[in-house]
Amino acid sequence: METTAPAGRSTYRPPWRLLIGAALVIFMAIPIVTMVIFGDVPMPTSIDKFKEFTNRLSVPEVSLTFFFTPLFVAGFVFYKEWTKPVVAIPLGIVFTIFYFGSMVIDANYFAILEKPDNVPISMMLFGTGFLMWWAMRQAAINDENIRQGKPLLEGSKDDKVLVWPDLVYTELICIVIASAILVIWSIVLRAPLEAPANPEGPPNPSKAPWYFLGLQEMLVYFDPWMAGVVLPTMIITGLIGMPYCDTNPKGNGYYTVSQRPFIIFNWMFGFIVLWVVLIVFGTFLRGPNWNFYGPYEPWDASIQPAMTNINLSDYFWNGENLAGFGLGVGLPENMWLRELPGIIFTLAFCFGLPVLLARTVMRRMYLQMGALRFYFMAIHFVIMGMMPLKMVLRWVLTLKYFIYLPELNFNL
Amino acid sequence: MATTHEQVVKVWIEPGCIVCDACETDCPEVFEVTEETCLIRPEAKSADFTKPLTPSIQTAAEGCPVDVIKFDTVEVEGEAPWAGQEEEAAAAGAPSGGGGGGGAKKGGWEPPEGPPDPAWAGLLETSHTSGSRSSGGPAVRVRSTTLPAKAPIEAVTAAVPDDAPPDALSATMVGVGLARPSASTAESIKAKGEEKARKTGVGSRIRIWLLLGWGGLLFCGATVGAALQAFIVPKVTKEPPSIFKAGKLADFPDVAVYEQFKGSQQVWIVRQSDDKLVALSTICTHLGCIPNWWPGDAKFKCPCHGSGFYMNGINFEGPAPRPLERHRIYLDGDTVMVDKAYLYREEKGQWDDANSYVMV
Ligand code: SF4
Ligand code: FES
Repeated sequence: METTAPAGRSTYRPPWRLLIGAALVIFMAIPIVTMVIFGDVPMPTSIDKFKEFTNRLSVPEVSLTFFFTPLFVAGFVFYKEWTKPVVAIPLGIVFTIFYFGSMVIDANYFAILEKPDNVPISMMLFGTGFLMWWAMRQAAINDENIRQGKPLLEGSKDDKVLVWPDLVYTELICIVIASAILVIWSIVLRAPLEAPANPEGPPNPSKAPWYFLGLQEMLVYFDPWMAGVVLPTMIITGLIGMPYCDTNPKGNGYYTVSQRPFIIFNWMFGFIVLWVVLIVFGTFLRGPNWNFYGPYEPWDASIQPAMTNINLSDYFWNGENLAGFGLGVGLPENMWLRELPGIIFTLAFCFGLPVLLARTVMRRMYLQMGALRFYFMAIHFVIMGMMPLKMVLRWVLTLKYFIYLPELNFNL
Repeated sequence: MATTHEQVVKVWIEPGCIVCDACETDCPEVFEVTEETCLIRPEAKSADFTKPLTPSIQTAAEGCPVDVIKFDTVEVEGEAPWAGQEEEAAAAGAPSGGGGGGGAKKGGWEPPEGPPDPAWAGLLETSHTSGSRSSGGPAVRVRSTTLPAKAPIEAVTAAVPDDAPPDALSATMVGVGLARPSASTAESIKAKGEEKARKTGVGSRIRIWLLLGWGGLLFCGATVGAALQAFIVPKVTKEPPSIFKAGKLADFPDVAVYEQFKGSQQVWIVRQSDDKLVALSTICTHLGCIPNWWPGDAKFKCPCHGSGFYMNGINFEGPAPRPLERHRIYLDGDTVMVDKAYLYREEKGQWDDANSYVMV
């Protein structure tokens, strides 16, 4: 049997949070500084310039990479700070002013926001924001209590509740309230019905219902069967499997972040960034022809930015667009040989990476969860990671597909 | 500044152990993992024994996945005696690749055998331990040999040493019958149900009801299913003729996209710059929306996810995985005919087929 050498802990800890904070601020400043100083984006000194500034910085490659993701990370690292009411309330007020105040300064934004289809978006934004704050606040208090050895907010309450009457009554009340809201809503706000479908002129842009806009955004980056079938199925299997994979009893019945950072970060990333933020993008930033428009930019359908997408196989065999990258021998005739780089990459990413994780950084988790649970979790995890990866590659390399087998209707 | 360090004086395990063996791996001197639960070895009940083992006890406590290992420490003046050991171990471990993480204990440093505390050894010998989490009572019930059954509470309190683990008192009280561990919720519900069934004799009748219930459900389901199968196949099939007249050759004089059949037939007639006349399907190869033709940019652009196609139907931007499809086009005299029953796909090399275009 192995024995561990006595391991003392050094008392010096680098000020991680400070360093991360500084790094995030610098990271977020990069696009502002470079685009304002070296580009043609104006300083937001007047309302028009503010609009132009916001429009230019809100293209997804900039805003998702440099604003939303760092803000999300910061929300995690500094959750004890920002959830304090003295910070959270002013933040909420500033956001509300920005959100509704923009209606005053811009007609296009006004048109988006007042559409009846988009009313739920506002509700979702404020609802998610409030609930996030509420949960994180309780987690922050609990984590502090745990550190100091004090009892949890939830106390040592019995975690069992009777189905009847406790649960059923709660559900009944929720049903009544929700139905009342829906009835009032449907009476007050006219249903946004449109003309019958017409094959000559489909609505431009054609948008999915608001709750699927994130999925529609994913469809821009993936083949239809990937984004339309495989990924949604994996969302569902992941949600179903999560309670069976997670045998760690920590966090059961009480809010905490510090005890479950990995799982909470992942959940939030999938839900907040890959679902909610993408819905917001689809609502405010996707205009005619599914092109990007800034939030204050008029939706002029004739603006057609040119873009060309290139497959991984083109990059690999031709090296057309990146000097010094690629073999430059031309695409092979055989489709399997042609797509070999992409196939190897995909297999390695989806199946090799989980094995690697199990051997290295997630070894502990692997031992605790057991192979079946771990690989179930890890495969869902890396495939979730594939979405941002593909988006970044699309923006940076205009990459179209990793595997491009139109002969078999298989593209990835 | 005087250095101090912590030394463990007492270790105990709270209920909830999931018997994962981690602690025994980390610190076998103190922890013993049995079939049901994890125990503190009797000799480890003494502070003299645990003090030198402080680092590995801390490691084990951190490593416990459910955090049930608890310990008390005291501050001790001076450098920790194992402080040097740690570096030594690290130095020994580093060149070996640090593979296992453990096993680095090369220096031959052994914890001194602590004298077993007779009181605790005795207590454990007379104890019955149970790993059940749902029993609600303390994990250890002490069958005391020194205390009479129904001993007064003061006697029990006096018999349990002050530095005993927190649940020792309640364990002893349970042992001598002063307290009864409460049944878990599941147990009490089950007991109540059984009692009721026994009193009312409902146990056998319930089977009949269950049978009736499930039978009824199956019957209804089967009926609905039988009714639904009638909807699977359409009762009326409307198939408009797949062939239509697109006009005379002279109707397509310029290199352009002709949109007059977009609405009625979902076809664009395109006269390409290589003087081929083709019939392009208006169905986007991504998810089937209908793209728009933008003459200024000379491209088809789909409003759903932004796929773009050149005038000849080749996809070049957005997610569409393949070019727009061509229909069969042919000349009947000088009338241009289009047959939508045929599809020609570029990626399958079918655009070379003479049926997929007409030379003008
Ligand atoms: S005490 Fe913790 S580490 Fe030890 S066997 Fe039990 S659960 Fe595992
Ligand atoms: S359906 Fe045309 S781009 Fe998706």
